[in-house]
Formats: sequence, structure tokens, C-alpha cells
Amino acid sequence: MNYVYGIISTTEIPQLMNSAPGNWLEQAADQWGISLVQYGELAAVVREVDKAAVEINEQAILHHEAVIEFALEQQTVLPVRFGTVLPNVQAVEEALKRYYSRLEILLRELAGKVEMGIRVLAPGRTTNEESKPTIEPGETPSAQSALPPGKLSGREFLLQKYQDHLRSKQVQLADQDVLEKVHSVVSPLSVKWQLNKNPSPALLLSAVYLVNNGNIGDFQEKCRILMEQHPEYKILFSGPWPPYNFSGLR
Amino acid sequence: MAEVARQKEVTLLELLDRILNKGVVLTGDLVISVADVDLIYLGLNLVLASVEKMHEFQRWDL
Repeated sequence: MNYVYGIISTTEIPQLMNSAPGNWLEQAADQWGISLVQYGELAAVVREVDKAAVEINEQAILHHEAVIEFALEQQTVLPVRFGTVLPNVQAVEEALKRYYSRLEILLRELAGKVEMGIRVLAPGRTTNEESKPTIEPGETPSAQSALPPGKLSGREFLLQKYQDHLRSKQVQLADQDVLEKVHSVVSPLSVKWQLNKNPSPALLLSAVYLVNNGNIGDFQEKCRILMEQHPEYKILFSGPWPPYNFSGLR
Repeated sequence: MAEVARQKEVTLLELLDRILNKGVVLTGDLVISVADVDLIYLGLNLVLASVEKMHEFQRWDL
């Protein structure tokens, strides 16, 4: 059985053979027992395993990533989803044959590019924040209120609702501003992106950007500056990653 | 040390999110056997469920 890590183009290999410190495949073979299954100008990076069920633990996950990142340092790699085991070499060749044209296109599109991730969080934000009473039970909204403690007049109730609405609107506008700013700063350094806005109340943005290798340093620097400029938000950036989010077969 | 541990956890979560949910899917109907594939995917689903829980607890506590 063959565990599949990633797909590469064999046309890139001859160039690598000439580059120091030598052929990465030989190193990977020595270190992890990695080999290639070729079909046309594509090859799958595989390792022979004796069972189909993949053990899911931190070590296995880090190993999968280590192999892909090692290969990525040398050439373009389409990362294959963790846990992909095909029964034999013929099945791997069959998979390459079946998706050949799409894999080739993807490899061309992703050549020399990596994925960077950005998450923007609003710490402490909860789902029912807007419905939280701004006046605690037993507390009157103003000293002038003639009503018993905890009771609001109709006017005070509406005023409180209006103030809550204004506050919420201000927060929304501030969030929108920061998201637009983040995107406007990093998108010029990117080729493609996927934005997932407000996937939950506290997570305002989960985004991935496809970035040319040459722009990684600038991208990271811009993110660091954004973090410093907006301490009220938690801006997390990660990467460079293999382009997992841009490797979907369409 | 706590910060390093936390960064490691966040990195691992970012990695899990990618390697379990994204990347090229080659399997399709190229199955080893129905039972084996079911086993793999059952395992992945269980992991995903627990990772989502971890996200809920951890994500907003950074």
C-alpha cells in the first residue's frame, strides 16, 4: 500500500539534480523511505505502508507536514490530504492519470507560491453581547426615575435600546474598517485569496492568501505592523504553508 | 514557556485545519476496500469533532 503525501512535476527534477546539496529525493528516501510513482510528467510522493488505516496522532500529522514542507523547499508540491492510502502503485498511477490535466494546471498555477493565513479575532466577543442588559437588575437607569428599582419606563427602555444599537453599529463599523485595512494591506502582495468573514462572533476573519515566494517576507512584515497598529484586535498570521487551500481539484 | 506552548498549539490547530480539511483528494472511488476507507474516514471525523471543540475553547482565549 502507498501513503501519498503530495504531487510534483517531474519536469522540475532535472534542475534540482544540479542544485546543491543534491537530489532532495535521495535525502527523503534515506530519511523517511519516500519514493516517487511517476505517470507522464507528474509524480506522486509516496511511502510504502503495510496497513490502510492511518493512525491519527500529533506525530503522524507533523510527519505528513514535514515531508511536504521538505519537498516544497525544493519544488512546487500539491499537498495531498492527510490519510490518503492507495492500495498499490497501479492505483497511484491510475489516480494521476485520472486527474492528470487538472493536476498539471494546478501545479503550474501554484509554482513558486505558498499559502499564508490570517485570522482576526475580537477577544471577549460573545454571541449574546448585544442582548446583555446595560442596566443590571435592581438598578435604575437614572436618578430621576420614579419607578421601582429594576423597572424601566417605556422611554428609558427605548433609549437604552437605541444606545445599544448605536454601540453595536460603532463596533460593526470598526470591525469592518479593520478587515478592509487588513485585506487592502496584504492583497497587493498576493495572487489569490479566500476570505471567510465573521465565521463566528469572535472570529471576524479567517483568510488565506496565495503569495509568491519572493513576497513572503513583506507579507509577514505587513502583518506584524497591522498587529502593532490594532492591539484591540488579535491578528494572527501563519505561514508559509504548502498551498492546501488552493489545491482543490475543480 | 507558556507562550511557546500556546504558539505550538495554535500552529498545530492551523495545521490540522489544513491537512484534514484541504489538499488534493485522490481517493474518490479508488478504494482500498470499503471497510478500510470507512475506518479512515470514521477516524478523521472523530478527530475533526474534537478539533472543533478544541477550537471553541481555545480560539477565543488567545
